[in-house]
Amino acid sequence: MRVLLVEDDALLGKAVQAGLQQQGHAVDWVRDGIAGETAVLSGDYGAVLLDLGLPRQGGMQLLEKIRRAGFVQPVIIITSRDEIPDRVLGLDKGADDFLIKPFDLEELAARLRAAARRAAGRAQAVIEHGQLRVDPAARSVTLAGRDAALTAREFALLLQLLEHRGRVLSRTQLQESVYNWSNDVESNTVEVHVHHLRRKLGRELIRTVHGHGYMIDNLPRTEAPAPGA
Amino acid sequence: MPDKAGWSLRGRLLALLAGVLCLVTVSGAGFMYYEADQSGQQLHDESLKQTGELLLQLAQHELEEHGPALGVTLLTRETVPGDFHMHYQVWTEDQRAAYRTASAPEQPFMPLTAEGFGWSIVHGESWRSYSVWSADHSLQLQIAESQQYRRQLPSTILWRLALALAVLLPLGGLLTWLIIRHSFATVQAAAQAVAARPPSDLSPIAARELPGEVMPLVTALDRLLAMVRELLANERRFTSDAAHELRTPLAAIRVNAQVMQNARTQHELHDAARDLMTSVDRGGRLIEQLLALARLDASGEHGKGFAAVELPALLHAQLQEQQLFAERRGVRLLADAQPARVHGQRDLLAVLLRNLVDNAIRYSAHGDEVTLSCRELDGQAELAVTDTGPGIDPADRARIFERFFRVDANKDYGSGLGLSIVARIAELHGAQVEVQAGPGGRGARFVVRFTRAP
Repeated sequence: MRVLLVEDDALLGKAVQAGLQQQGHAVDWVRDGIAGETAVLSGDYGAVLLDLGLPRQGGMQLLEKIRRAGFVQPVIIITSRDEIPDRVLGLDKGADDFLIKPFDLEELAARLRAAARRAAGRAQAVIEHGQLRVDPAARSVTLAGRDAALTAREFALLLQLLEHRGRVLSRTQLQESVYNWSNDVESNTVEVHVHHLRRKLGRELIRTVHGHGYMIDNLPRTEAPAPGA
Repeated sequence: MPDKAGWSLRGRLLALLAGVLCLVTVSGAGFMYYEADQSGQQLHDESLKQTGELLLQLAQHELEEHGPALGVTLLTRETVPGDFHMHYQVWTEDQRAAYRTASAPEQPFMPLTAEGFGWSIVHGESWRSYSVWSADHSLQLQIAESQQYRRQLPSTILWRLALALAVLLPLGGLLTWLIIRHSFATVQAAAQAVAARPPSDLSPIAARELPGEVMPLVTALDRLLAMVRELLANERRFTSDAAHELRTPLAAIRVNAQVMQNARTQHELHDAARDLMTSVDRGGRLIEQLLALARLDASGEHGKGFAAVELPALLHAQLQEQQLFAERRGVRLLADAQPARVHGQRDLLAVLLRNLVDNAIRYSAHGDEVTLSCRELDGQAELAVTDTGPGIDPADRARIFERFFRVDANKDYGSGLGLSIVARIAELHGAQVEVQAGPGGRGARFVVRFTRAP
C-alpha cells in the first residue's frame, strides 16, 4: 500500500518510513502541513499517517482540509498529545485511528492493515480468492494450500489488485502503490512483477486490460460478504 | 477569631469603645448630678434668704405691736418636734432670743457677729444657715435649713439616673458589640473562605463586600495569588510539554530498534543503529536542557552569586570550546571582542553564550561564518552572536524564545529549549535579548543588552 507519512521529526520520520518499507509499503514522507496537504490532494494514497504538531500548518487543520476536499482514505493520527479531548477532536474531524508516541511499529502496521481493510469494505483479515489465500498480517500467500514465495513488492502489488477486485488499475496506479518518490522505477517494472506473479500464482489470476492496465476479476460467492458491508 | 498570633482588632476596638462609653456616661452623670446639686443649693439659698427676710419683718412688726416678749417660742405647724426641715431664731441686739421655732436649738446657729450664709451643726447634722440684721440693727434673724433636705432632690435624680444607666449602659455595650461584630463579619467571612480553600483554588479573593480599609491587604494578596497561579500554570505546562517532547525521541528509538530487528541487509541494520544512537543522544540532550531550564527556573532571585564578568574573556573561552565543532561543520568562528564588563554569574553567562553559538553553528551551512562580539555602548554592555546562515523568518522572531518552539523542524537536532534558556539567563541578569537580521539582511544576529549598570 502507498502510505503518506506527515511527520516533522527527522529521526522518527525516517525510522517509520524505513520500518513500513520493510513491511512492503511504499512510504512518501513529508515534513510540514502544507507539503502534506499538497501530497494528499495530488497523490493516490492508501492511507495517511499524520502527526499533529506540524510546522506551517497543524495536523488537525490539514485533516479538516483534506476531508472537506473529499479525500476519504484512512487517516491515522500519530501524536504525543494523549489527552482524551485531543483524541475525540481528532476522530471527530475525520481521523480513523489514533496512535500515541512512542508506538510499536508492528502495531502501526496492523492498524494500517485494519484501516485499509475497512476502507476496502472488508471485515476479515484474510483475503480469499478462489484457491488463493492472502494473509496481509502474516504476509503469507497460499495457493491451494501450498505456500507461494513472493517478494515484498510482488506481495504489495497482489494485495493492491485484490483490494480493488473488479476494477482496472492502471500501470501508474500500481506503480505508485509499490514505490515511493525516491525509488527509481524502470518503466516496465510493473510488467515484470505481474509476470512473476503469474508465474507463481497462475496465468488466469491477473487479467491484462489492453491500453488500461491490470485487474483481478470478482469471483462470485468465493467470499462471504462482510456483515453490514 | 484570629489564631494565637496577632492581636484582635475587634477585641481591642470593643474594649476601647466600651471603656469610652463607660467613661462618658459616668462622667456625664457626675456632671449632671453636680450641676443639679449646685442649682438646687442656689435655689434653696435664695428661698432661705427670702424666707429669713420675710420672717425678720414679721418679727419686727410683732415686736412693734406687742412689745418685747422675750423667750417666746413661736409655735409653728411643727407638730412633731424635729420633723421640720427649717428653723429660725430672732435675736435682740443684747443677744437674747426673741422668737424661735419649737425645736430650734437655744444657741444661735451662727455667732451673732456673722452675717449672710454659713453652716451650722443642728442635732448632729449639717444645716445651711443664714443670718440677717434688721435695718435698725435691733434684731437679728437666723434661719437654718437641713442640708439633708436640700440634698433630697439631687440624690433622687442621681439614683434615677444610675438606675437608667444601669440599664442603658449594658444595652449600649451590646449594641457596640453587635455593630463591631457586623462590621467585621465580612472580613471574617472572607478569611474563613480563604482558609477553607483547597490548595488548588488560587482565584482572587472576593473583594466586593470587603471594606476599603482592608483593600490594600486584599490587593496585595490577590497579586501574590495571581503570581502563584501563573507560576503553577507555567510549571504544569512545562512538565506536560516536557513529557510530550520526550515522547518523540522515545518513539524514534523504539521504531529504529524495530527496524533493526526486521533488517534484511547490513546496510539497513547499520543505518537504523546509527539513527537509534542519534535518537538516544537527542533524548539525552533534551533531558539535559530540561534540567538546565528547571534549575534556572528555581533560581528565581536576581543577583545571587553575581560578580564582575569580563565579556572578552568569556567570549574567547567560548570560541575555544566550540572551535572543533565549528570546524567539523565547516563553519568559520570569528571574534570581535572589545572591552566590556557586566555584573553577573559567569557560569550562567557561559551557558547563554554557548547556546547562542551552538545554535548559530548548527543552523549554518558549510562555509558560513559565525561571529562572537562584545562591546560597551553608552555604558551598556552588549554581547552578540551573528551568523551568515539562513536567518530567522520575521514571523518566527517573536516565538523563538518560547519553550519547545523549533524554527526548522526538518533538522534532526534541537530541543526547542536552547533559546528559552538564553532568555531565562538574560532575564536573571536584567538583560534583553533581541534577534535581528544579520549584516546586509543575511543570517541572524542575536544581541544581549545588559541594561543594569555593571
